[in-house]
Amino acid sequence: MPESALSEYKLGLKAIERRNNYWLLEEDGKRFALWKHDWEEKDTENVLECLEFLNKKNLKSLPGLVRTADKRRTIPKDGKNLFLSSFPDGEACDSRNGKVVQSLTGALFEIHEKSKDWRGLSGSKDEYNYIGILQRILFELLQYKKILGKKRFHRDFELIFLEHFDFFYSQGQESLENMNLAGFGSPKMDAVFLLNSFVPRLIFTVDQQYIFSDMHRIGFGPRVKDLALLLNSFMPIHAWNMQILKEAIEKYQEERKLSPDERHILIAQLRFPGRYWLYALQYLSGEKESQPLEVLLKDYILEWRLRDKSLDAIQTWLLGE
Amino acid sequence: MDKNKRILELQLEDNSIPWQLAEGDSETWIVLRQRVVIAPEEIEDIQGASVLSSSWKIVSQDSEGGICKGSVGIVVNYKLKEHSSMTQLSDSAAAEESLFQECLQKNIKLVTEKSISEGEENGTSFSSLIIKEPSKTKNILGEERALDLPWQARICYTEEAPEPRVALIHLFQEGISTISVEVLLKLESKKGKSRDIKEKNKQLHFPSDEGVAVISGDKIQELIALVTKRSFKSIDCGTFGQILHVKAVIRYALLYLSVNKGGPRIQIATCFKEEENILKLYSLLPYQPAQQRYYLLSSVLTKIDVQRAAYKNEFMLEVVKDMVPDEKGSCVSEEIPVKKENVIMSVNTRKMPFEKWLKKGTNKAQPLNKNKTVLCIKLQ
Repeated sequence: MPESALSEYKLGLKAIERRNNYWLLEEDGKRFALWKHDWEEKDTENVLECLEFLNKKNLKSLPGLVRTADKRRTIPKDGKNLFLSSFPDGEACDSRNGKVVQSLTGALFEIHEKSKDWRGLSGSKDEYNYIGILQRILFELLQYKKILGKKRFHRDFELIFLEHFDFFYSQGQESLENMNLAGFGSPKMDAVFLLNSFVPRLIFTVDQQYIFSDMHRIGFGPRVKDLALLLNSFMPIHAWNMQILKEAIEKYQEERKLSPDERHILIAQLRFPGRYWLYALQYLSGEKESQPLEVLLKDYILEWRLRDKSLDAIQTWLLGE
Repeated sequence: MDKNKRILELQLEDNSIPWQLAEGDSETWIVLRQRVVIAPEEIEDIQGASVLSSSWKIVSQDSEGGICKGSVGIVVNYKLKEHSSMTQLSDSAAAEESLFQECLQKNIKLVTEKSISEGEENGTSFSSLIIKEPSKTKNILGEERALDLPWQARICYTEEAPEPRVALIHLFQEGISTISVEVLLKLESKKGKSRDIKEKNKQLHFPSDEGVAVISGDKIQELIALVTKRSFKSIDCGTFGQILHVKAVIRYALLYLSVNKGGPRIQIATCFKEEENILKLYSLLPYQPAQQRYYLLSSVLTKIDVQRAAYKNEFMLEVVKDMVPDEKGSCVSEEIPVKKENVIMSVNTRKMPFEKWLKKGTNKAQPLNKNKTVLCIKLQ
């Protein structure tokens, strides 16, 4: 319990409960969340300054930042930065409703677009080496295959992982091709404010307005990264329904079309089998056991059977290929 | 321990695909392996298999055996899941997608891998089915898939080529929609089971070999065979020429059925050992045998525990004294009298000047100068 951190605020905050990445707090019936941010203090300050900027723009889809009694945005603690935000008191969004995905991409576009006006981001380019990182992930997948392939007898997770390796590896290669086609190595994308997390239970509906309340991964980067993550997070629930996917992308580019490079990156991010790598990492590092991971991987494979078809169609629609 | 009792510390061989051989002097075992992908359907259970055909032919041969090519046709029966659907309709996909992005950002990678224990019993819930002496009639259970498993092997035989027989089939589910098949074929030489070979140019010896075979890294459910093959054979006559030291390097190959599931269960573990047999000579004079052949007479293999097996093999060692080429040019072991005599070879005499002209008109049979002929005597 970050008692010392709470004392930095004027409010008479009381902790309700500790959740995965935040503490849920309460004061006079109003809810707040205390977040931990992993970046350097200076970088966290920048992101929070941008959040404040968006708050001032009257963006209802983001929670408001609460400063400390002495007007600081962050409280450094154990190499991380704590900050407080308001926390919506509404119902979690109905993730099973296809129209919700469409509304969320619309709300996300608004955040991205307005954040470009913040002085810290004007003309700022994303410097992240995505191609290099995705290449590293693919290389690591090859290593995992080698580690597991050496075994004589396998557990269920290992069998399923090895059985589908070629498929996922080729999806990863296709993703890299799209990254390369976008020239993502050299011309950098415009950076915007990113949410970097779209867990449905942390997206609330208050007065028919969606609020993205998860703040623990906020940062900067190319807008398609957030769009892809939102789609990757919600589309499994909709069995990668082509119509829902198409409408969600259309909504995002209603006011401003995605550039050809951004479209390639969007396809690349949707194609990349990130969770396949994540499950293998969790298994090999001993973080999770075979049985629960086996269920997750099996679901992921079934999901990909639908996803692959849908992405083929979306690729044709978006890129005209 | 008895001098001839050995401890065989066997090493597990890699599971080769499409076939793996355990070659022996008298029998050869072939493990045929193949994967069948039934995607996109999900397999619920494997129900059986039957052997539909088996064909083979000798493609090249020599005096000790030949290369045999063949194929086994089988039909695998399986049941598909009626409904393949995602169980996860919760937030977990979204949380994991975000986590993946975080891992990328933080450059999280595998630093130390946990120790994944090898050889854990029943480490998989996927089906594994063993069929001994499989039927030759087609099953009518569930779905079916026909497979053709090709093989090639060098087989040792001297008279009739051995006939392959399907001894066992192992079917196992290797993932969501993959069935892996292992077919164990046995090729046994018909020659060499009798001790009554009496030919005057052959000497027989009956060595036996017994000991304990030990494997590590796996557990034995059932023993199949211990196959031996001798190579690097050599013979010398001993210090006084009264005995024959017959030496060879034996490659032992233990075939067994593993307890473990989740992979191929027909396993082969091997090791090399030297062997030396001493034969008393029947003949008074020492000789260098032309050929030596080993035949397996009997083999007893008993499981001691999951990692050890006691074995006793009895062989017949046939030492062929002499061989002569037959009409086709290959060697056959028939004794023929060898005429031993001293051979006198004359070296060409040096010709005299003008000899060519001097010889004309003289008696050709008569040497020019008898006193100057040089003789070289070579004793054989």
